[in-house]
Amino acid sequence: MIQAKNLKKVYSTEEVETTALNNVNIEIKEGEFVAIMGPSGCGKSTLLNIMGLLDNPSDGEYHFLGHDVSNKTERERAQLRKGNIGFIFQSFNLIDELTVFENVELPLLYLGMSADERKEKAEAALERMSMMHRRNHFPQQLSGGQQQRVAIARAVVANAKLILADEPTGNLDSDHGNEVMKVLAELNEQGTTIVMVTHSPHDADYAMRVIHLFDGHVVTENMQEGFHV
Amino acid sequence: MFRNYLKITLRNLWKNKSYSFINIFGLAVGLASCIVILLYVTNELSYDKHHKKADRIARVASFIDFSGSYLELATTSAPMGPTLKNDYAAVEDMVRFRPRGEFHVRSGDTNIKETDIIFSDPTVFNVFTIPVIHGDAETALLEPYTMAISKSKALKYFGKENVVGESLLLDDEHSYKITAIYEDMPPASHFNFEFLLSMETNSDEANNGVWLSNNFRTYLLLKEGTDLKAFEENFKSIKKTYVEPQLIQFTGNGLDEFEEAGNSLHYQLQPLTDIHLHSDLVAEFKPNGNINYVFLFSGLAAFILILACINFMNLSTARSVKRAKEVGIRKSLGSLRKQLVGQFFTESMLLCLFSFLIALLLVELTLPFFSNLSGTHLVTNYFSDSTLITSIISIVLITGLLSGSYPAIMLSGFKPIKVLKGAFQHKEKSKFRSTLVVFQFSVSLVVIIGLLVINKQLEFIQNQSLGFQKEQTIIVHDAYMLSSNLQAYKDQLLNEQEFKSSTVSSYLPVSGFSMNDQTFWPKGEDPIQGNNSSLQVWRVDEDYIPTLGMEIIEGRNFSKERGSDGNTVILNEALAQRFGFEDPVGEIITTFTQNPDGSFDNENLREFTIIGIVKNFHFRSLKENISPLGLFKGASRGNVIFKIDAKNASIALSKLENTWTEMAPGQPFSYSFLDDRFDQMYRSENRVSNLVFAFSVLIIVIACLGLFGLSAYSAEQRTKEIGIRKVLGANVAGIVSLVSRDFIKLILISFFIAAPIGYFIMQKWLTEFTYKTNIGFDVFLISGIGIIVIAVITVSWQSVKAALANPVKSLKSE
Repeated sequence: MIQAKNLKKVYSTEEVETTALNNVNIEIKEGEFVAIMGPSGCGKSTLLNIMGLLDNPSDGEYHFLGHDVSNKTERERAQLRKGNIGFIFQSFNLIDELTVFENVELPLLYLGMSADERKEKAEAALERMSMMHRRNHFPQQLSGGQQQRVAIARAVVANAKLILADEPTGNLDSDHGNEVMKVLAELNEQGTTIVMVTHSPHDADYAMRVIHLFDGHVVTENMQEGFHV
Repeated sequence: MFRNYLKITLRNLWKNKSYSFINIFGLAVGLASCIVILLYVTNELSYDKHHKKADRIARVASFIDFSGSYLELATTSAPMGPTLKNDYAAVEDMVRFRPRGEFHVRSGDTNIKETDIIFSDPTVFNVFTIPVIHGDAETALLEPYTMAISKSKALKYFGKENVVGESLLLDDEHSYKITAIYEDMPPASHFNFEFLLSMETNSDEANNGVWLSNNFRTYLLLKEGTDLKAFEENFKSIKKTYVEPQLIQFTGNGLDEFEEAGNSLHYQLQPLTDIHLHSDLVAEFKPNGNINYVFLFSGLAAFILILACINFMNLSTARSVKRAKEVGIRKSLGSLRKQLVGQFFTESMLLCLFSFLIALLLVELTLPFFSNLSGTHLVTNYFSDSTLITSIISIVLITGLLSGSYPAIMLSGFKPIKVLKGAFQHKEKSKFRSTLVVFQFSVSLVVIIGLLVINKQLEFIQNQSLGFQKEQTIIVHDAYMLSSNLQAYKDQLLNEQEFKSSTVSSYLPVSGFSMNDQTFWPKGEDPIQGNNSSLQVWRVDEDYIPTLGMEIIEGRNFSKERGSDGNTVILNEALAQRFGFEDPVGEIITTFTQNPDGSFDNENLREFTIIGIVKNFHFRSLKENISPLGLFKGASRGNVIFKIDAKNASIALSKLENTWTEMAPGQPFSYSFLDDRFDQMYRSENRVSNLVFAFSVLIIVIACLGLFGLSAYSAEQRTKEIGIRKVLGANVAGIVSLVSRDFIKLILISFFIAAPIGYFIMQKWLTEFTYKTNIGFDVFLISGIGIIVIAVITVSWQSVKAALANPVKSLKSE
């Protein structure tokens, strides 16, 4: 599903050049659950952004679903992103002015689906996350865990093949965190590929494979011995 | 998708009520100003366009520079019209108007004063579009003592519309037969006649063939396809053919000598539709509009709208941090940039639409007020004019696009990864916002400076030493209607304690009364080549100078004795200077006599001995220099003027009226105060002052709304900084000044931009006046301090709030 070869990402401001990623090679197959770990500033989020087609690498190749996307324009990347990739953020990133239902429905709007279809799919996604009873609430009316479940519903509503999660439990207490991790594991079982950036070894335990990054390099790749279900 | 945008827009508006208010209300005020001004401009531009042949009609104006007085006349000579029609194929038809002042129209037992009454050639209905409802337009005004009247006057005098065949008695003297009734002339016309009297009635003057006397408003209807300029060039030859022979007869000199002596005469054609906004000549039918004011107010309205748009842009971009997250999310969910641009434009369009609806309401509410201020009659008939409605729609659309453009482009350009990380800062763009704030306040300041200078000039006019006293002076009009009782009226009232003195004269040193020009020269000199002067000939009595509080600086006033002082004159200083007399009293000045038909008789000269010099007094607007004037003893029975006791004005008025009713039964009593008439001369300046005041208030309010919003945003952004500073020991005052400082800096920059621009513009405006105030330092001091005070109050509202906030809260929330 994902092949990254010699990925390099350099951020330059007027005075400093920072290399966020340096010769990163990663391959992720469909159905995998991969955790990316490493200290702050090691390039985890940069890697995730490139994987999510939110950003282009400075150098190297990146193939997503068989397309070489390393040099595509933002517009082309947006097209490919739609429906294929779902994002989950540490800070949930729900739109405050939209209700739970409207937030979940949003990706479908960009896919140009009819209202009936949107309703059906969004409700199904909410059902799956047990959030139907909250469909008409606004994000601020929900707990953190609930907000993140809505965000996950939004990520899966369009049947995304890949879910990228950036510290999904970072803003949650351990109970809510576990809840979210369980949901992700379930999704993975049902066939969704998941790539997750995390600081928490506990969360990383849910993954099949852990990639450690340090200063922009892949340090180790461990297959997990046995993982929680 | 649109529904989604709509929801987001509405919820955002609701959530940020104060921002929404600033945006919507600001835009509404801007749009309302624009609509009101558009209505005003449309009305001004519509003048005289209702005449079907308007594009082919032109008025002949005369420009005469003769013996030191320069006259720009809306009139020309009686033979001009008929001669042009006769001699030039390009002239299809012509019509002349000759006003003879007011008439008293008999209605039952009383006389009603009518002002819109004029002698007219019968061709008036052919040249102009004046729909005749009853009677025959072709033949209506052919016979002497016939008249055509407007529908509303027919209803007023007879209670019915069709009164063809009826008669009206004018000035208790002549009966006119009504031959036609026409639709009332629309208000957007440079003349509004209610009564048209046949020119044949006045045939002596109309056919007198005198080219040197200019009393006729003459309009030509040119043939289709005639080039106005070329025709004007072409008819110059009439000067040689017709005017010169009379000039030679009158002065003994031809045109060449006339011009060599520094005089000039030329005729010009004014397109009908240009008259209202471009013509300001002597003897216009009514005060015309002014194209400069059309520009001025259009400019102000445009500025108000631009300022409101700037607020919109400023506040939207200032809030970009909040909206950035949404942009990031939408982008990560697959939104294209153009979809986001569309979303933000939808938002600004919606906002603009709300504002537009509120603006329509504001227009309804404020239009009567504006009509009153501007002296026009405006109605909100949006669909009467296709240009008007398209302009309004375009303005709304342009406003939406303009105010939405910058936020749309800026916000949609955010990189999702940056904004979603939360470490989003948008520092560099604040330069753009600062520029906009500077622009707003520069405009505000220029307008304030303008306003202050206009008011200073008006005050200057009020306090100018006029050479006469305008206070406590009542003018009783139409004194001749008292006929033989005039002296008795005067005497009886002077016995009452409220009246101090009284004089009878048609001439007064304010506009709206008689003026009479004639050429004089010192005895023995050549009338044309020599030291001559055109001067105002005012016939007054011996009480004139004391009653009006004028001052004799040399010689004496006229004596009370009847029959004496017949050939004497009191000159003003201007004339005495012009003739260069060392000791003017006792010198003799000479003039032509005039034949009954208005032509000049150069055989018989009249001589007047100078008995006194009166201190110069202003008898025209202060826009003009004091020109030569002579007071002659003689009867002119236009008005009785009373100087009254200040305390008893109302008693005096009732006495004036009661005595009038006794002595002139059935005649309308009308009066005015001299100082009111004086103020009327500056009505257009007063109007401009009021309008500029109204607009400057709006401009300042909008600019302050914007500043308020920005300072709120700035305080919000710096919450953390303020919290840290407070923890470290900063006091409230320090923090207020910290937050306010940046804004005050911007206002100061605005001041230095606005001051020279305002100075330049107002200096130009003042050149209109001969007697004018200086734009002093005070103007800048007041405007500068004023705006800073307003800005400080606006900004500190927010900064004080920020400074008083509990730092623990602000630091925790980060």
